[in-house]
Amino acid sequence: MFGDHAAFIIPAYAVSILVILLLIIWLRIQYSNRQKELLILEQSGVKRRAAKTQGENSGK
Amino acid sequence: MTDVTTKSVGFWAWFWDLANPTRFLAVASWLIPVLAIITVTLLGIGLYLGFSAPQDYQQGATVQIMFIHVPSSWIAMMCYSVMSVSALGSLVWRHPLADVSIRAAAPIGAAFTFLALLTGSLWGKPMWGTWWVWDARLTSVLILFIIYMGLIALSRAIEEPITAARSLAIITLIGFINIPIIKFSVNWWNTLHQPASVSRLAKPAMDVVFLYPLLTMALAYTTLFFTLHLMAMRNEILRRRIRSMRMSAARRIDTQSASQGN
Repeated sequence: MFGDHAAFIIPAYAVSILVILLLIIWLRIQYSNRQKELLILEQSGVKRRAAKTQGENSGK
Repeated sequence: MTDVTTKSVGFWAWFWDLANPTRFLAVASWLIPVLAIITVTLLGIGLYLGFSAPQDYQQGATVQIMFIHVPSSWIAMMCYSVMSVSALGSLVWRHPLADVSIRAAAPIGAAFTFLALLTGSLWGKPMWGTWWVWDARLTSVLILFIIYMGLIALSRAIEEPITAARSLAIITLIGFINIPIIKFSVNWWNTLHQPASVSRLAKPAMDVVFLYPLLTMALAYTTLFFTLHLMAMRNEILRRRIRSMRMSAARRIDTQSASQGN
């Protein structure tokens, strides 16, 4: 399909797809880890400071 | 007059409201999937148009590499510009999300700069006969990659949040000098890299069969960048929330054990 240049075109696309997929996977793993940590903290009864001062913040 | 004032007050109120992390997380939760769907659609159209484009009379099939090389380079520079605006927001207006934005963007910018260099190299070999030359364009983009790496290292090196935010913002702004150098390097110096063919005051120097897929891919990469940036900002906000919760929990345990000790 790409003639003589397939050896350059296919790696260019392959690495681009790979790097973008790795970025997405990395961000998603981070997100699910943070959510798990938050859940554990909340279950152990730790409250956010911001939750108490929410009313003051929104007035800004 | 009054109308304008109310409007601008309304906008700033909204803007400051977004500074509230809880509000930001609520907006991100619907904006991320919407942007992701737009990105996938645009990528689909862009790839279809790109692969159905004919071969270039000079470049042959390697013109296909352009459809991913140019958007990667564009995002590499746009990401740094977003970071620089955020740095101003962090230093001048002390917008709390501005610092979050810089930290979140740096690894994404580094990834796209890497892709720009790699796809450029894979395009350079068949067209110029070399993987790499130390000309002004290629070297300044390599410097951009090194700056991204430095910013990532710096953002992870300083534990104290306010000092970290200030240092990161200042270094980011200093690094911005490289962006116009990259942009105009092909005009200022005699480079192997060709000058701009799309963003010219006169008509773009490119046929529509190549221009349309290229513009679609550039747009797709742009929405992809903002999707990833929002995801990374959301992670960074949660990281800070967890950190402050852990610290307040530790303080409470401290006071408890102190009172028990008495």
